Amino acid sequence: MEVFLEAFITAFTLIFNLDAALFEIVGLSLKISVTSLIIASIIGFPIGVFLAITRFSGRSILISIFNSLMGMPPVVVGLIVYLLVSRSGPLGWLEILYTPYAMILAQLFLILPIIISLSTQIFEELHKEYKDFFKIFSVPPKKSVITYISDSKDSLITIFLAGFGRAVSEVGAVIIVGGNIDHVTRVMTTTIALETSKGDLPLALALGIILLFISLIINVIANRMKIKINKEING
Amino acid sequence: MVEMNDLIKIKNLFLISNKENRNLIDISDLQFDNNSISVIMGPNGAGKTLLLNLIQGLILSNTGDIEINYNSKNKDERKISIMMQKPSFLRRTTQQNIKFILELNRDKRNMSCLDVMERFDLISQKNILANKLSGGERQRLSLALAISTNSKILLLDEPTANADPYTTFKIEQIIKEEAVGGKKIILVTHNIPQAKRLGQDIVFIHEGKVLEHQKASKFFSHSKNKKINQFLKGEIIL
Repeated sequence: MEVFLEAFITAFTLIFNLDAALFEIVGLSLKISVTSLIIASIIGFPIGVFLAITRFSGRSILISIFNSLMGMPPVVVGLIVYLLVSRSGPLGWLEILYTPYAMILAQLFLILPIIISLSTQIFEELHKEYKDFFKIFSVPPKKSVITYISDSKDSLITIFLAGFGRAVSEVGAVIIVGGNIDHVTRVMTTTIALETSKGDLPLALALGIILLFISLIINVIANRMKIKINKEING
Repeated sequence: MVEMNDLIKIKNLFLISNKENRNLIDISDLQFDNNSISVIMGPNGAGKTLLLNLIQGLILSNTGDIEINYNSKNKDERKISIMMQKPSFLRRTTQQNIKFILELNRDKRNMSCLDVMERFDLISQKNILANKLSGGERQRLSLALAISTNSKILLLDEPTANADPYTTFKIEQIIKEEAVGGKKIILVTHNIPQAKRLGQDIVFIHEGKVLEHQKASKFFSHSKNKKINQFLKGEIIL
């Protein structure tokens, strides 16, 4: 019990002293997860709109594939991205293996199906309301896509959060393609795994506490944004 | 049939319901002239709304042609706009809905959002969600959006159904102004006094077929069709 108590005290000391090594890891984790989330949203939301408002053969199969990919094990994603970006892989020429770029790519593969699948459901609901309006007023496709996204923003925040949660808490994929290299690709989750295996509990605990805190902060911000948007909408 | 300088020519228009195995629309020949208010009347289920939707292009017929003979000098002017019986709006405020439509049309005829809201008496509702407006306000907003598209032809599907006298008066006044301004109005209504007030020619539809198309004065004074006369008096349900 004493060991745990000591670990907690050291963890809080690291946090309150703004330990440079600790916050370097936290900063890199956030940079990678936020970047992959932004890229996934830019790609995923328009695809979600497309799948929601168009009808073509193979559409339901495509939706089923994206739904299945939501639960893809991170280690499998890590392995696929590893094969893609390794020297002999099709993207080997990019030379991004064991860099944060490979980690962003891996997280992108993990988040994209979540963004696409969940947003398709939301846009399908909105499409039922909007299809006549868009047809009557001949709203151009580009404008329609922007309108679908902007008019669903309160629901999209939840999806955005789900994607961020998946990205920031993931360890299997980023450890394979990032390699957990100190000062280069070491992020919160990979450090927690490494330090725990080494028996250095204070750093692992400190990171664990920060991870929980980030998750809490993001949820609070998202809830406030939803309340604000709802107030705007309902006057 | 009345002789007209035709703006809309409908030939052999045929729409069949596969579910019910019956003809929904069966119009061999129908024309609408350039500058007037045409009223479409008929019993419930006659095909009036379907005809408007076919003209607008919201649904496609099985066979037949709908020809719109209008080439605007202004390339931004649209040909047709429709006000639906059950209008749908964006999940936005009244003001934002109007702005959205005005921004879609590059030529705004110098109309500002404020002008539109003033004209349609929607100023006090500008910050209310469109879907939360009352029935009459929704009808005014729907007409405002249709008119804001700057279309030559306005198709209005029962624009004053269930509206109070004020909304009815306001909407009729705007319809007349638009017609005077050179718009072609095709109006579906069950309201006989309204058809008399607004209509210059009347198309009577029953079971998807045009029973009569006549100048309003002739139609209401001595329709050739006995059944129509009885229908107008409320003596029979067709």
